[in-house]
Amino acid sequence: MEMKDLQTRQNPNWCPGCGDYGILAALKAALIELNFDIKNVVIVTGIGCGSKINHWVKCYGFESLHGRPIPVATGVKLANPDLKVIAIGGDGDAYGLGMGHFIHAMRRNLDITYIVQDNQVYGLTTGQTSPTSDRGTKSKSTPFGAIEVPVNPIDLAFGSGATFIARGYAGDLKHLTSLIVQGVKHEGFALIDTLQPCVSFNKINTYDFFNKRVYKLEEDKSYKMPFIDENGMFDTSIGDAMKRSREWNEKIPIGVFYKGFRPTYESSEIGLSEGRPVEFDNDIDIEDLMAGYM
Amino acid sequence: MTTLNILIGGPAGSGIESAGQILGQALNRSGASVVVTNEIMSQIRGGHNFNKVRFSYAEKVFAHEWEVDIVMALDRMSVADHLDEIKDGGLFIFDESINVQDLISEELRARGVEFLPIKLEASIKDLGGDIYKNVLMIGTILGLTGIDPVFVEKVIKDKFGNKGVEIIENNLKALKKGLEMAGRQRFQINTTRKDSSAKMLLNGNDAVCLGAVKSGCKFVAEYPMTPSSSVLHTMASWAKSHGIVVKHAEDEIAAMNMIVGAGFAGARAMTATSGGGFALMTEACGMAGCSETPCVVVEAMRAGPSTGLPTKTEQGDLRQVLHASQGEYPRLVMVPGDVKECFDMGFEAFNYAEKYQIPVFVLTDKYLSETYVNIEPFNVSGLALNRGKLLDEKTVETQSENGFYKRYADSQDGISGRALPGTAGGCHVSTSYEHDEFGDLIEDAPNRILQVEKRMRKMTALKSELPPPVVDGEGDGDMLFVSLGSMKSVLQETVSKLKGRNKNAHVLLIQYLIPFHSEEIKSILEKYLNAGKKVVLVEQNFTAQLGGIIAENTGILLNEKILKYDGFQMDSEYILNKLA
Repeated sequence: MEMKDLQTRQNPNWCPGCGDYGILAALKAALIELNFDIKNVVIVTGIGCGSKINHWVKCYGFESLHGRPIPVATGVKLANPDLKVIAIGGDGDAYGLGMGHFIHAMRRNLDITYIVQDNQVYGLTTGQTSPTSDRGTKSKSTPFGAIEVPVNPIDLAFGSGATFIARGYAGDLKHLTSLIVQGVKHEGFALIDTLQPCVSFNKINTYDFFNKRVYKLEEDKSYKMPFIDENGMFDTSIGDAMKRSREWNEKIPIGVFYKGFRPTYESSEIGLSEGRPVEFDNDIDIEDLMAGYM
Repeated sequence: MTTLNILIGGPAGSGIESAGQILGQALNRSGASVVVTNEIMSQIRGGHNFNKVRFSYAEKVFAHEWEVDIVMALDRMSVADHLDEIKDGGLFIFDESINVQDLISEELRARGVEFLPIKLEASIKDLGGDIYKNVLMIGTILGLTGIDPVFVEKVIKDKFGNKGVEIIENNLKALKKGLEMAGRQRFQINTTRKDSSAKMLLNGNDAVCLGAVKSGCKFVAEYPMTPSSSVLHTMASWAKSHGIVVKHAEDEIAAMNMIVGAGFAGARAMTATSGGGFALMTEACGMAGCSETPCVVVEAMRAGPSTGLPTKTEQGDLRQVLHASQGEYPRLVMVPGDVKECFDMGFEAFNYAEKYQIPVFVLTDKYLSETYVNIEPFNVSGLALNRGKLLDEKTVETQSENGFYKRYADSQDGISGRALPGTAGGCHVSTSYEHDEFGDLIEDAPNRILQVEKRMRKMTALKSELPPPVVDGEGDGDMLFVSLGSMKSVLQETVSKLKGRNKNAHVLLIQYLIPFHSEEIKSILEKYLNAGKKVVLVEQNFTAQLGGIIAENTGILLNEKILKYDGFQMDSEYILNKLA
């Protein structure tokens, strides 16, 4: 597969310089590297500037509602586990409206990759504060500064049983591509929270801001990935991950915080053991079921 | 005596529901026509729950009746709360420890109502506990009515078969003890079997599930909510035997979005809920409409507003379902009237959903969802799946341009060929945004008009396929009842009683709210109204929602209405009293 095979009828309409271009380029590069047949790839998005991304990657896509890419992706995956399902949404989708789904998806451990375009602002609605905005952020909806502390997606993912937890940066294409490839290959739920500069509405968390601070966990020999067993139990090894997930002002870690194993939801789902829901039998026998009422 | 109506009442958690089930199934197997209604409170222990078991060997019973012949009371409240329901010559049976002297009025004595204390609690202690109470009560009922205990014995053996010999033996002992305690037979019911065919005892939710399974439904996502929860439980119990993925979702929003995802992937997918849960689903209902994704939603109404009366019945969500979600989109709203129609519509809903690529709503209510009736096994011959315009990797090219597939291609009937993920050449985005034929996002006016009209055109074809409304009744009717849903069985009882009074009442049940058979319904109503016949609207709500829907679609405002909104299903006597 080549880049032209992923070309759709339209081109992106994001603001020049938007971090979403980097995410789109990394996504396409990852799909080429993974070399899947595009007919078996489904990208499910929410609503927001970034959620239009599936219109610009030629595969199957479902553009759902704000906050709902995860339950729609869950339905797609459970109906046909043979499909490669990638969910993509913004920080509003994932950590605002869709927070409940996000947490349940991680404890469920479906084989879905979730790329969160985390720009710490609501872009499409012209720049209000988001769940990941820093405390004190001044915006149209918080003219006197945000009072709440930001959500910490990495910490939440550890607490919710995700089996692959990573942070990417839209300004480092090669690294982000590698994270997406690893996330999609990972058997289980993979979170890739992606730092994404919004050039129009976030004047603080810019490319310059991130370029000065990001470092790669893979290149830091002192980082030890924690061990978590199948029941979610862990020892003090998790301390370093928790500490690093909170690093922000001085330096910001990107890369894989955690990768572990727990059987996927699909592998234990009793209905799926009898076949995929998308398979049809034209004459289903219900005589036994009716006899149960007699 | 041809029909008996028995009430079994007690606090929640005392096996009342199970007693109704065992007795109902035994009567079913004995050849009776039977209806079992449950009235429960929204709590797990205490309070006051009751079942009504109404049966006859001589005639078909359709619905419950308010007035009862026998009240089997496990507590004082079950006597006190039902004093105004007892028929002349009726009987209250209760444990000897319950003092009811202050409840026995002169009026009750004059009507020949009797009060019979029995040694219920003392006998239960000898048998080994409260769990045998319900079977003992059944024994007493059998003794009082002279019904052969052999059918109950068999049901006990089937029901407790996996719980060990001791449990079965003790239950049989409890049954025997109960029979003895009845003393003499006080009610003479004709037990000559008129109909010997084997029947199922099941409720509306069960029938919807059977229809869905027969239709190939393989994905269910639901969040528990009375009175729809048994759909989740039943489908989950069949997950392995029929390969159904059943997901108890984190909330109703997730459940609805999941079935849209599953429908997009190509599975036949369903959710079930009640009014409150449906409120949470509405945004995704519109998404199914805009993205043209098939799915089936069962809404079992209960008494609102808000949490309302969680375990009581009402038909108050018609408008909510009709208007669910912002904007305009094609949809089908079906209203089954009885258990058989629950099966039929449970099956057909998936065909319509896939053929027209729309969300289909099956609107039931607590009474229909949870009332057990016995009917013959459903005839499944001739039931065929219709998956509509599905494209494969060869046919997808006929709907493509320069290698790009037009998911939303314009067509005469408004239905576009559908390529499912996994089909080569069918790549596209299904979207909740307005879109062009390819599914790409464009906002210009001509395209908007084209897509709106394409979607809404589907309603014309759908309407022409739906069976038009028919009046139930023979000859020239003296009057016409207009109603929907679970009122069907109540009106069947009413019509039969009116016949005994030489009145020929006809019934028009509205089965489809969207699309609405405006012309057909208008001409039916005009026929009766122009002839000066009485036309009465019957609904279980306050604002006569069906009446409003009829008025806006036909221009005819029905002024005569029988409405009820106390949470308890009206019965035929209620309607007859209101008519008088």
